[in-house]
Amino acid sequence: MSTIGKDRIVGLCTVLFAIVNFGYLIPKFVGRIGRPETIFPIFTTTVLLIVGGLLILDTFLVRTKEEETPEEAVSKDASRGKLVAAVVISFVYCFLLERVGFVLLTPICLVAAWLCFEVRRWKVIVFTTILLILGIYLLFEFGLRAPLPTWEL
Amino acid sequence: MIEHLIRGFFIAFKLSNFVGVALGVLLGIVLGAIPGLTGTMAIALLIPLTYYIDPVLSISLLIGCYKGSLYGGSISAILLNTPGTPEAAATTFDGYPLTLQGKANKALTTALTASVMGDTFSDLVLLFSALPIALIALKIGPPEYAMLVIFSLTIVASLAGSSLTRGLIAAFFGLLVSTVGLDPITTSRRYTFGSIELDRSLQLLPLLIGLLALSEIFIQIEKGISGRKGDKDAIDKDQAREASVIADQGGPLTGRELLTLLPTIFRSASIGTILGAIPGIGSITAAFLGYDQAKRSSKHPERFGKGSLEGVAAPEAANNAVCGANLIPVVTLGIPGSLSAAVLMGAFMVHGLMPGPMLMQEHPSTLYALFILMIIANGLMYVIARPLLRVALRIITINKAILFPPIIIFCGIGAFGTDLSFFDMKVMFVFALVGYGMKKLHLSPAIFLISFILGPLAEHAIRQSLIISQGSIAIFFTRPIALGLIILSVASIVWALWRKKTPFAAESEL
Repeated sequence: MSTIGKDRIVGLCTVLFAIVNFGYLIPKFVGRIGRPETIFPIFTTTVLLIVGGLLILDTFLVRTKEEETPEEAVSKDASRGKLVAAVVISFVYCFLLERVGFVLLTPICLVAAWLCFEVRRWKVIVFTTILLILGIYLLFEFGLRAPLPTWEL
Repeated sequence: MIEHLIRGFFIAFKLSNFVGVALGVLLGIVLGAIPGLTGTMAIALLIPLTYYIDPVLSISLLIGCYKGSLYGGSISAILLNTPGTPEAAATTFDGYPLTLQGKANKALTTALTASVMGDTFSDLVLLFSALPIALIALKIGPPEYAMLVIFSLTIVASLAGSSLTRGLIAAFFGLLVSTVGLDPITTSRRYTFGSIELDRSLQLLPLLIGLLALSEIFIQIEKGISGRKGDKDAIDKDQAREASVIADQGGPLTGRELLTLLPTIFRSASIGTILGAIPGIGSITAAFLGYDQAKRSSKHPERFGKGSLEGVAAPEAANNAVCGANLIPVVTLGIPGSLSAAVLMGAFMVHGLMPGPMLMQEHPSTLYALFILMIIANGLMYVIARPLLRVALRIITINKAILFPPIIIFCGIGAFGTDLSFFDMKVMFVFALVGYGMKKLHLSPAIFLISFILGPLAEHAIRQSLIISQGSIAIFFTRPIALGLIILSVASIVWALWRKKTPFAAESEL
């Protein structure tokens, strides 16, 4: 997508967000307009509304158009699967650690990530996984005296 | 001041602090040498691990890591023509030609000497200017402070790459997100959506790790990584092995050569220190400006780009000089002017040291101990950087596909580790996606983060001012310093619009 296209999206989203914030979020989740706690959210939202509008206006005044290079596009297509895998693994780790526990979930996520990234050096995978889990466990349990989550299913 | 300085010496001169600083420098050099991993990212991941350690030890470790990363970036810039950090980009211009001429050793020792001297100069300026500036800052009232924060925000936003509007959008979104939680004066809930966890506001560390570390990992993965054997990563093993051999080619920097380089180093260190103290201008701009000025003032400008020692010393002295100066607005005014300063400010806050004019009043000895340890870190860098060269060159060959999964785990555990909160892990993940989206849309996560830090300070000062004036905004226009800062804010926006055509517009680290 060109820079102009991206700027239009950013500008439009900013303006829409500012309108929703004024009309719904501030009255419902901050306070009645005019109360002291709404001063700063109103100030920032007003600036966002103005700047978002200016950004949209700017896209109609700018003449040059920056496009993505073909190499960038090819590289991104090939890596999109790995990116999705990284996002899903991060999501799983952040949202399930509480339930599954550190010792079980960490090796699963680590090995899954390495396999998704096409790493097939098993010696490296096994050695690094053990070293990392042991290192973090010892650091938290004995160094920082902060307990890591355990299995709670 | 002298009394606190002496006390600072006693706090600083402990074996544990020396070990901490050395460890930080060592980590920084190694991580900084790896293209794609920056010093700020390393600090963001290290902060949670230092949470339970003594503040002086942990902050000095983090500062050591930042300093080390600035030099580490120049190793691969000189030997492989691939800057390890963006700050080292200008070092490739003359560093790599020197390597091709068989003078890699000379280039590396020049970079190291210039880095250490530039850094020390800047740290000394910080040491002697922090207290006087903090004393002046104590005299300003809420209206002036509010406008100072707004001025800093406008200057940071206006220096962000190519678009002022995008910079302002990132800045004001950051300010808005900082209002989540309990209102600082009326304690009513704002944007908490009924969540008890959000009552305590969004914590800085999960945000920092998500926006700076995990989102950057996502970006790098999208750019392309592969763990398959034979697939070439940024630097392959043969290249690194060759670099390790050529690193010793030629003699080191001689005393006579150093004498001829001193004016260049001093000039660049001054440029770096001045730019570092100004919000919004980072070490990348300082390095390019230092290089440019060295070329203009040189007796042999024709040698630049072909292997000039001045061309290596100038950007290295300038970019390292930013490090100490960056902390001047942080410790005296509580204003982070750059991404690295924002991350270091986060480290101060995590350890209960609230940056701002009161910091010099409440913890003077601790601060002086930190400043002294910063100078010690430079000396340690000089001692350990050369033996570490080969380790760094081995580590930069590690495939990113192997490196990234452990970093993802560190991001999660780091976010959890600060407050032992699972909610913080989820916040970190959400802000990693926010950071990724922002980078894709050319919005700066760094400006968002700086605004998030400055938000509560700005709101508090604005609300206090309005209470003093009984709701009238005239208070901001009738006080000379506040009015002056408003004029400067407007001027910075006007300058940003004009600046689009200047050569350094795209070099901002933000």
